Amino acid sequence: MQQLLQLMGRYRVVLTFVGLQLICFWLIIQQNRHQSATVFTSANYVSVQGARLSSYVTEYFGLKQQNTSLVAQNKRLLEELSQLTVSSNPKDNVHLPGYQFIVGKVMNNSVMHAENYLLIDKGKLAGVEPGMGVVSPDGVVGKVKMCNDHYSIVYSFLHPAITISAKIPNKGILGSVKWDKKDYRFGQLLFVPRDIKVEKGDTVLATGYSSIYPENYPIGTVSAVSLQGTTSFLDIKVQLSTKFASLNYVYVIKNPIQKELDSLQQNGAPEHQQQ
Amino acid sequence: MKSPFINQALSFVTYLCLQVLLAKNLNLFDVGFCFLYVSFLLLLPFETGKLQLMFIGFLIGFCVDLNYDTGGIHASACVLLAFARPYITSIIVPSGGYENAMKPWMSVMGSPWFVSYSAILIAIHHLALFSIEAGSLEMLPFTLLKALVSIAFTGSMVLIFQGLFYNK
Repeated sequence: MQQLLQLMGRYRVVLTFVGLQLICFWLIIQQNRHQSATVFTSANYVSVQGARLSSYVTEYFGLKQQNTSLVAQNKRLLEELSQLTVSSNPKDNVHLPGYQFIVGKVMNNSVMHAENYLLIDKGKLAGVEPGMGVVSPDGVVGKVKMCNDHYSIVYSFLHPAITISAKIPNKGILGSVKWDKKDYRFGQLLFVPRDIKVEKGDTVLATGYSSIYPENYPIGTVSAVSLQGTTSFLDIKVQLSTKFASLNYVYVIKNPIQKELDSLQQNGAPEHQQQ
Repeated sequence: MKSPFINQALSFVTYLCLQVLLAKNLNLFDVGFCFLYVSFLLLLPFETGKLQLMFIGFLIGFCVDLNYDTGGIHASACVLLAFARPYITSIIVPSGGYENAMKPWMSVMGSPWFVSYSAILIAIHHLALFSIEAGSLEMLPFTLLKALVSIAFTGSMVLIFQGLFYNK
């Protein structure tokens, strides 16, 4: 026993080192697990105060850009509104409730890491729930990861866990958009067969299939198309419309019939597997 | 009379605030990051015990992690830095050897010693940090590029801080 203690005494530095590293890796794994407790994240009280101060100061630097993008959004909304008023059919009395938008202020944001998250100042009390989509006035932003009462942590699109189903409407192309893991301005459009002609400048929009993001919400524009070796898919680079480096306000999208859709899909799944 | 403990605690808080409020927003060519807070670990007195050093490293790394949402990545890299520090100081010895009451500051130890000391330890910290963050060898050249630019960035910030605030 005494020898054991002596041995431990001699190697106490290495043992402490290994012990601390184990704690660190436990924390890293904990962080990557979905919906984990919000204690060890930037949603804790002290960090939130720091982030609040920081965003209070930096908010002023982005006011002009913010204005421009708000004006652009207003324009688009007005256009959509006018289209709706023209096309709404009085005989069509089946009305699905539309999306609701919860405005959130970005408290904390990163674009440079391998996995990026946002912290926003709306939580459960404002109606935010994990899994909801998040958009900016310019384009899609990400998906809510977890919430406490007042704050939520959002997977940025710049996170390997996020894939958005996308389309190029004027070509009738469907695919998925994912971050290219390098540059916060670009994503990749995947699963477009190589025989299809895609051109630089084509707009990429959300399909709305998952009903997390509204249909036709902008994702980006095609900035480069190339063919790599013998793969059966095109290599398409997409310039993202959302300016992730200067995000200030975002909208969390609440779909009132999301639960019904989810339960329908879940109930449908077993039958599908039986076939 | 200020006790050395209070001095170090103040310096801890100052570095943490500088990191979270200021250095977090700094970015060089989209690939270089500034992790100025490692300077705190570099400048702890020579007398600090090996175990103490690692626990302090864990603490400051963990506090940075909380603000970066990175779990324990910074804590892990800092513990590695703290573990390596005594070995590095025993490898690079100043020409006259170490004397009592020496501090690991550039103004005390001279710039050749301090530059090699900080460069080696910052390199260890950053390489560990970026490779854990990447989590795979898939993007190795890009990870290395980020690490190298960041080492240069953090290193020059640490040297500038030495010149500005750490005179005898």
